[in-house]
Amino acid sequence: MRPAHVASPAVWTLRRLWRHRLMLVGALLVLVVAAAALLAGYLAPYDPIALDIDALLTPPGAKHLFGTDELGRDIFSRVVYGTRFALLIGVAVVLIEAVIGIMLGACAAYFGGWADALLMRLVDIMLAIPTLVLALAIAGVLGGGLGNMILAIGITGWREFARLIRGQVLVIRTSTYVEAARAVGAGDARILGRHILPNALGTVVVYTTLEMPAALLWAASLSFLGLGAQPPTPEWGAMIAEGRGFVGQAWWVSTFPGLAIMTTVLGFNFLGDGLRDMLDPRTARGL
Amino acid sequence: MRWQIALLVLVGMIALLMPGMPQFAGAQAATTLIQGLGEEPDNLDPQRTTRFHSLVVLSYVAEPLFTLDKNYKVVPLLAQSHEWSADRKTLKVTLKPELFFHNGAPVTSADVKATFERYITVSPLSSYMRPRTGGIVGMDTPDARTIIFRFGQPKPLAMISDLSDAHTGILPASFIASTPSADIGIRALIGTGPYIFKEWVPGDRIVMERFDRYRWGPAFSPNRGPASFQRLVFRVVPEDATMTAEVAAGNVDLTFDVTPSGLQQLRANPNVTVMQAPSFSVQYLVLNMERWFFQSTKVRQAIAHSIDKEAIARAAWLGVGRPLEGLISEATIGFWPPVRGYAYKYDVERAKQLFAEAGWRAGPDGILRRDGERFEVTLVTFSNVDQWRRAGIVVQSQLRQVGIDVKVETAEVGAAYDRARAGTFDVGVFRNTWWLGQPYLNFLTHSTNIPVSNFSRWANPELDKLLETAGSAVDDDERDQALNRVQRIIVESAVWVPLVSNTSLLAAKKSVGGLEVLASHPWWPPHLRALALTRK
Repeated sequence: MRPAHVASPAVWTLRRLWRHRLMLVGALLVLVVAAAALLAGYLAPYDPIALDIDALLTPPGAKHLFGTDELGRDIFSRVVYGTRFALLIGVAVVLIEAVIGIMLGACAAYFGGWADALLMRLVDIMLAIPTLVLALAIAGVLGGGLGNMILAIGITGWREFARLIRGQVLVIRTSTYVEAARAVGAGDARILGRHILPNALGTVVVYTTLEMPAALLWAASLSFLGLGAQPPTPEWGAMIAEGRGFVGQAWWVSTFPGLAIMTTVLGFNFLGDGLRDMLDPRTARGL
Repeated sequence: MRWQIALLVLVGMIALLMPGMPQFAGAQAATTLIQGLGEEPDNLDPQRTTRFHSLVVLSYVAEPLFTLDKNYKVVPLLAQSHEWSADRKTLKVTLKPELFFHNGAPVTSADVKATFERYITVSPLSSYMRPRTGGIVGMDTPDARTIIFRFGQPKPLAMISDLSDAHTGILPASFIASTPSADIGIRALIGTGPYIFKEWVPGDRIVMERFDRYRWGPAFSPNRGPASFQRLVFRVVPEDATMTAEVAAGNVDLTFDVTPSGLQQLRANPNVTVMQAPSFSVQYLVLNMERWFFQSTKVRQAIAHSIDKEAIARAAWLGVGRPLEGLISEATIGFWPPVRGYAYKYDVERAKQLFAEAGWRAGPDGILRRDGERFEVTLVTFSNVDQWRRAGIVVQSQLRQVGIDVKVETAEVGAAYDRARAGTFDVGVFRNTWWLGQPYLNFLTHSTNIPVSNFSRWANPELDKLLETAGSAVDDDERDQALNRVQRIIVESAVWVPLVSNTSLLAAKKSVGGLEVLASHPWWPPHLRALALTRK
């Protein structure tokens, strides 16, 4: 028999989730975006790159839910297909950042000494350059295009990952089980790979959900500046850029992709905040 | 007391800042004209540049010997009179008396000679005048006001094509000799024009000041000099929407770089006057003939049949442009109307049939294949000019319909032309502007202009020969016949596909006067832009 004031696990979980209802909203938004990306082919009523010369700049209505752009393309379909590019960019960028950041951060902390000093000064130097400027410079050198843009943002954004991982590894490195592993003769690679990193990954997962919206915003900025996706890719930043010449006469061209970016970024932010609150004991409120 | 001091300091600071931002200072507005420039010039060197915006800006500073009136008739500018020999191989030009450069020195025949020597050496546009093509083989200067051009071959078009062109803007011989060529038109430029080049802040503005001694404007200008505005500031506003906003807000007095989308918005603005005029500027598509898949005439014809120019005019130009059948527009001298009969009409069925005849079959994804290769091409056009970027997307969609997978790669104008010259493109959508057919078509299609301006990299000896005849035959009819044939060959080759002819647009504040004078002239020549405008 359980004491009356202790809730059942199911109720407890529900209560816990209710405390983090913003996280639920976030999860829901992310789910909607992911579903849109998966089912774009079924959801979009039109081909996102098909032109309709007889329906240029049609206002939102029954035929075109979000209206059409200056080339007669259905904006709703473009926004729906845009989710694919948004998620692709987000995942790919965060993956690149995480791989570089984790490798460098973990090595710096684990080996310490001059390796730590060297790698962390590199991070300091990178952090001294404004992110967008650095990404712009790299994208400018690599040339436009979706792949190059992802690479440019990835190469720019690993700095925070490296710092985060370094902090985690520094703590775990001195724990008893690591010492035990070392005592039984495990090599550096094994200790790092089997004992330290798995224990540091929780934080990384949280940070990943928070880094995703940042990556999306950077991608939208680069595309807006013409260094990202090439036409006619239905990438949201590029769509905003294409519509900005018509803001005065056709507000819907830029507005809907803008709302799409906002929704997705908000979703990931809510989700990430919630996850952090739930998983990080230091910020956890009494549960 | 304390707030009074604060106010004083504030006022003092504003007063100190004022001279630093002349374009916003109200006190100077009455004598300053701010012109918005949609594209920054590469340089203002008359002899080196080939860019349209450079030509427009430098025309305020440097002047050629002759210019053209509204009927495209050659009229004297720095020249007073001229005299041809019967064989059209010798041309004697007499300068006006009392002509001065901005540095105060009088204009002499030696300056003309030095300028033309530089023109035929450094200008990419001087092929008609180069000794190698029977151009200038000698120049005599019997006295300070007389220059005699001696040509290797008859050069009947010399006056209209080169001597009236701002690319032969006369510079002082001493200036040419003492200035490194790369600095001319960047750090300094000395000419005879109504405005003196003062300062160029890259990425921001070009500042000019009135030349008070200027009295030699062309006869068709109601004001022959000096200009009305003391200062002329060209503000570089490369972003279309920003330009529209700047004009609407009144931060720019006038601009010739309005986009079709901006036009619709500015028409509704009660403080802005908008004007339209026919233009020589054309938008064309060119195929890179080094690619094996374009070698087949049938494939090229099929591509030409796949393109709906009407759709491009409507979607990319928002109805401002007009479908173009020949590679030169109706406004250009030498346009041959029957060329319309040779242009390939939009006909998707015919296109598909031609692809099939050339051995291309649609694969499961709808893309044509031949010998296992997919028909994939890269289309290069301008990222920062809406009508070109959009035309690229429309062409992409139209070619996709017939089974060609087009990847659009846009780049800023300069970078796009670099790619065109380097040959790193399959299909290009580019532009050009000229009032005269022969030199224009020569520039775009003659084999000696590969790869500088003939981006097709296609050499056709028959075309070369006709272009030369069109430029050198003494008999007017013979020249016309040759140029007509040139236009037909170009269209039939389908190496170039003319797309849309542009319209010149202008947006100005209501307070800018003299626009009706500008409108009386079909193509708003630089001299009217400099001399006719006033502040109401």
